[in-house]
Amino acid sequence: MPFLRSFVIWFFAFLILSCGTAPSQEKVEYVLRFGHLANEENIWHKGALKFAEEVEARSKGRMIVKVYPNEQLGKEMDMITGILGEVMDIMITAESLENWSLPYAILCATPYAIRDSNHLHKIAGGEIGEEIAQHIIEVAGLKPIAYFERGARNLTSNIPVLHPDDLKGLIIRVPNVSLYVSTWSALGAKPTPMAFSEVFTALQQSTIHGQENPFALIRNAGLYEVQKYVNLTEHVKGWAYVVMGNKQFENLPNDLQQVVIASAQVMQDYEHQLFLEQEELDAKFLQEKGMEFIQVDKEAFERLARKAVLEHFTKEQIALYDRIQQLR
Amino acid sequence: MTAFNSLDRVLEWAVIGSFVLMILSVCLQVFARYALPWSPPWTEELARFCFIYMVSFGAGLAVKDRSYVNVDILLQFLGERKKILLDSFILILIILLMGLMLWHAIPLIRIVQMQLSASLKINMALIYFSMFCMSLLVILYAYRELRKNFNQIRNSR
Repeated sequence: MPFLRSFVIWFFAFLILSCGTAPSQEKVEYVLRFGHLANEENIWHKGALKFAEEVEARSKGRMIVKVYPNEQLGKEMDMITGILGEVMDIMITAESLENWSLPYAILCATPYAIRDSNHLHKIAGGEIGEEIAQHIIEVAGLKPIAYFERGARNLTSNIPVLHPDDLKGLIIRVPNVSLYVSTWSALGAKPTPMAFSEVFTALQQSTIHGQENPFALIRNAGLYEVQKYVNLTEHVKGWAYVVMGNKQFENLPNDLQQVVIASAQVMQDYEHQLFLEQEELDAKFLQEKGMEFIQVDKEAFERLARKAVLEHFTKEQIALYDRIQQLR
Repeated sequence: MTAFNSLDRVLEWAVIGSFVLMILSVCLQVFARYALPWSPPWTEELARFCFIYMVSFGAGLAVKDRSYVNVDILLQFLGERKKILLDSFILILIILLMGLMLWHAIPLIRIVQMQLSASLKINMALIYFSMFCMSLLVILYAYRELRKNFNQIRNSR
């Protein structure tokens, strides 16, 4: 028995000691936790990995970034809470910020606010983008360090929709954003908010008749199996922000702040390159799977949607919306 | 103990109320999707919040009714007196854990004060307040059970 006892003691002592000496951690001063919603195949994840790589190289190993894909750190809202509670540092988010007393954040996903890719970069990368970013820093304490262009949202359905009149009686799934609910009501459809994870089954069982999302999501969710047409409404062109907790950012020494900014810029360019390639691949993929692409009467859609947006917005939001529209 | 008894009544009705509200809001969504021209966007959220509050009101009552899942294999081997002592020890641990939650819920409530829920536009601090409620109620009821245990030990002597 004494032998057994000493064996047990030594065994646990060994276990505890081996826990203490984690290998090659002595040089790392800062660890940033980067969470996002996409899976490992997604270009957001590839962008995040690029960021991690850049940060480590530029800070010579003093700062590392750990990337957590697939909602590992929680859903979008939980991650924002996590950043403000300082348990994580960086995430990718967009119009959900609206609910954090940030009315201007909805402008990064407003129907027919942005005309095309070119316009988007002028807005998000320009003066207005700077203003929105400042707004986010001041009110919520989140610092946008980069923006990602997102694919245009298109309507999918089992009947071709050429004109808003074709939407009559169609039940369309929309994300839980009140602006989208009022926009699709104004277009004549019957919008139903639903979690995205339920959409495939709901389409199969005809609980809903259509949904609207970018090509990438239509592909990833396998919606080409239950939907025949992609109606090229392109009603929302928008962008997402990569945000870091402002407190966490301020706590970094000056040179590491520069590292974060520079690496974020590299990530943004890299992600954009991937985005352009991926968008084409996804469209081709959907066509190969037998989906038909329909050219719609975009002007009619735009007219009705704009009216709904203006009715829904507050005065300040309309002012910003108008400035976005006026920028050529 | 009359104050406790009326608290029981209030909590029971609150649990029943939030449960019924949850069922109704889900039914409304099902009905609206098929029969109405427009379906309300806030039902999922209301059902979720009702569920959260149902749990947080019910957590204290469950301590009282001893309806939590537990492994009692060790308890069965012990004598009457030791059983009560172990049970009291467990209750103290529960109180400590809930005290920890209570303490950490406060900064969280402060953070989410500026967040509004997506469709109902309710201040999320109100929802996170359920954490505070739950910890407080569990502590209250665990303390009451603890008192009962002490009385039992004293009387058995």
